[in-house]
Amino acid sequence: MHKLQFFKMIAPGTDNRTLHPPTVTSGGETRPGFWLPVALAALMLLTASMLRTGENRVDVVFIPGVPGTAEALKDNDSVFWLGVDMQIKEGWHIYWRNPGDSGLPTSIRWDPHPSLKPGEIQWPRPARFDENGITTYGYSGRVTLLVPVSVTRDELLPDSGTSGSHGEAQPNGLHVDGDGTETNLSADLNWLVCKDICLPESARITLDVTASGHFTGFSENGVRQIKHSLDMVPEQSAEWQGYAVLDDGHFHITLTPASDHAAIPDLQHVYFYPDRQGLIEHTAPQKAVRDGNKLTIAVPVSRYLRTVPEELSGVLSAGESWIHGKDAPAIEMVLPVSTLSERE
Amino acid sequence: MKNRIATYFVLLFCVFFAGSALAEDRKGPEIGKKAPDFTLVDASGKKHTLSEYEGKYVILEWLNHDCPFVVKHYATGNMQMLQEKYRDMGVKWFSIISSAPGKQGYLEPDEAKKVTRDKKAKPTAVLLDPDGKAGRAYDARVTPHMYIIDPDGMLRYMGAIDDRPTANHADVEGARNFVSEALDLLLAGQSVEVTSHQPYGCTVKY
Repeated sequence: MHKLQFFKMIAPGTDNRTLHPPTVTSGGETRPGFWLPVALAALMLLTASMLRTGENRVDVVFIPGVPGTAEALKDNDSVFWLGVDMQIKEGWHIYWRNPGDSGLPTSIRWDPHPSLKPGEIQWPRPARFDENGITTYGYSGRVTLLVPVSVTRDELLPDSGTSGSHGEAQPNGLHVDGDGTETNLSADLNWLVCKDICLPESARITLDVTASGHFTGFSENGVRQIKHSLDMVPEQSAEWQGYAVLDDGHFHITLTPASDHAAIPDLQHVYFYPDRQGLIEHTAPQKAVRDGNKLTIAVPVSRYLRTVPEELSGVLSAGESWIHGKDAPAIEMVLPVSTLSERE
Repeated sequence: MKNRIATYFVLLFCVFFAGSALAEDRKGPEIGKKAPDFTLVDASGKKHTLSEYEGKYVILEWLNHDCPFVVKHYATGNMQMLQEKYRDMGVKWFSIISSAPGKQGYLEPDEAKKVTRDKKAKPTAVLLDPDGKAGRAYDARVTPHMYIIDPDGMLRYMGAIDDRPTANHADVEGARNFVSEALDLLLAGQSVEVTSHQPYGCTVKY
């Protein structure tokens, strides 16, 4: 799941409009210039509620999306990034969306909310953990998972307390529930944290969504952390193209530059992280070779692979950037797979 | 010249070792082939040799009672139910502990007996593999890691117990259990559809 795909998923115009009073719906169809400040105003009212449980090996808090991250909204004006900030005790690690040979990815179960719709987790690039002859993918230290949250625009109502019963929506006087009460956004988080042993942990965290209070709930640090984490989420690269051929127990990945901006990184640290388990032998070394501008990577196939996948998707990682002029040591790739006989 | 020949030999040597290192990675049992034989002692001190059970279906279950993924299947009674059900049908069920002494899941024989009793587990025997030899021969990576061996000693299934790679107890119900699915097909004289599946669980604490 890539950022751009997500935006398509939450494209405006699909909301249920039956519940809204005429004062708001009379605005009619999309007016981006209007909704941007509305969405941002809603963000100003969000404050993080910290719920730290002392016994967990991982502390989790929400970092609210804030106006300062407007540029992170990219081309959709009713989405903000919510950070799920995880501080992991030294020596322990948690898992990426594909945990590798063992482990579990962090999962989030959201309470339904009338106007805030969380999307899928965007995962910063993972690290590799080799232990006991197996390999897992995940994070140690600190990681901020990112969740795009769309604001269901039509349910943003004027705050009757400050703007009168038929007042226009005012950026500083909005709340996101129709009946004048606050509605917090809550979620149950579950994760597995491992060192030499593994422990399932969980927490319930809440984002306070209040009807009043301006600019008080966010910190510059939070903004910085969300930006930093966004930079760590690999993006689909237009600079590289590739495919994979399954032969002799290996996926032979071939990559060629698709633009002049493609940069060939040091091959020693090239590693392909597949999106799901059961495709490759996570532990086995992946051998990258360069031939002119062409790169090939031999990735041993999992002994548990039963049918040839149509494509191999995942994150291609290196110690250096894949793109000139950009800090992109990891890129998302979707590689069509064929067998040698199909290619002949 | 001599130097060059020496270099060639060194290179050849490297290639040879790189090759065998790769082969090492892919070692382990294969579906449809003879399952590795072993002799292990159970919690009561009795020796069990796999090849002596030819003529019977055998299930191997890698076990670590402190692993949350294992706990999921024992706390819900799922594993005990499967053990009882298939033993009643003449299947031999061995739970193997490959944790090294001092590591999570390791049990002294008496402890293993007690835990088995406390959990109301019903395996044919709990086998102790503290040096991890049997575990490594099967490339057992996680707990629970499951294997099915047919009466001819051939491996018919290896991998996950089911299709829900979580530690959540609520996920036992409704899961597609690959072990019972494969065993039911085999016992009915049919061929197994899913012969292997990426295993999930805690790493084996070798």
